[in-house]
Amino acid sequence: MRRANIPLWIALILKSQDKCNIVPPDWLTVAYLKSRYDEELAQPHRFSSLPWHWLETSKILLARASDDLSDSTSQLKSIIQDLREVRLVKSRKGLRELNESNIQLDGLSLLEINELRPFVLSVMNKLRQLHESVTTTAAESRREEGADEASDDDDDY
Amino acid sequence: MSYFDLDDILSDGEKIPCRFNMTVPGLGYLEGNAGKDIERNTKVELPLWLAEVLAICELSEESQSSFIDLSQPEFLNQKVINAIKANPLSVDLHSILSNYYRLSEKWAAMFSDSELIEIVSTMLKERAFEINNYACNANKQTNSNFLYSLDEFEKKLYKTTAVSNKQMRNWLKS
Repeated sequence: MRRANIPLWIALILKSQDKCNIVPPDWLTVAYLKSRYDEELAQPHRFSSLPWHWLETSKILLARASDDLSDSTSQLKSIIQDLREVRLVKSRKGLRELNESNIQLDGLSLLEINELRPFVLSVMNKLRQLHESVTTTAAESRREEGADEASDDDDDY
Repeated sequence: MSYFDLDDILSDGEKIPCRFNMTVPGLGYLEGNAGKDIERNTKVELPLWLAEVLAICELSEESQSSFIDLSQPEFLNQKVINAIKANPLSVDLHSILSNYYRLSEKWAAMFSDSELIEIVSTMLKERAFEINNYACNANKQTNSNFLYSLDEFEKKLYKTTAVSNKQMRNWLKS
């Protein structure tokens, strides 16, 4: 028995051939995820930090290597579902704060960002267009005024 | 916004009420009496693309006035603006103007009307939030009036959001 760090896809192939066991990541336990869940509830305005690919990795491991996990699959599934839902509610709430220039995504994982992406991008794009329609014309006229003044100065010499 | 954007072209064709500042010979067909002149101070509705150019071009080098003056179009009158301010969600944007955001954008760009942009942006934020809510509950049959009141941009937004939510659910189930 030897431990080695190998890419997940190789591990899955070897696992399917019964040549290895997958050591589940530290965070894929009911206890750890439960503590994260409590943290989410305790801090209504922040996301607890989870691995960048937590949803994807957990889904793969639960489906393909459930016998290697320390806790029961159903318990893990339900806590992951709870965690996902509480975070989803938070990110939905955050959508009220959309503006044309920036969005804060601290603590969100890749899949959660991608889930918001189509909606957030279109709205922010539209807001930006709306704002630019006023600001660029104002900026242009200011630039033109500046140019006029500059040419006036030239005339004096 | 690109040259071939259909919604952009459609919004350019929206009629804007204008008033002529001079008598133009032979233009009478615009108000229905062909062959006659169009009198000074006649009110006509012209498409935005035409009105914009005529409103900017000056009559002659000396005078400040242009061919036509733009009047406030219906979609921007106080009644509509007040309705938007009161409750953005209950305004039927689609029946007022099917390209509301685009047209207010163009209008604001012509007059540097930042107040209008402020109102429209607030409305967009409120309505976008509601659209997201509806798009997330795609399972239930929603026959709400709100979905019928969406403007063209909002319809697209609703569709992309609903599709992406559906894909997400399918992935989670698979």
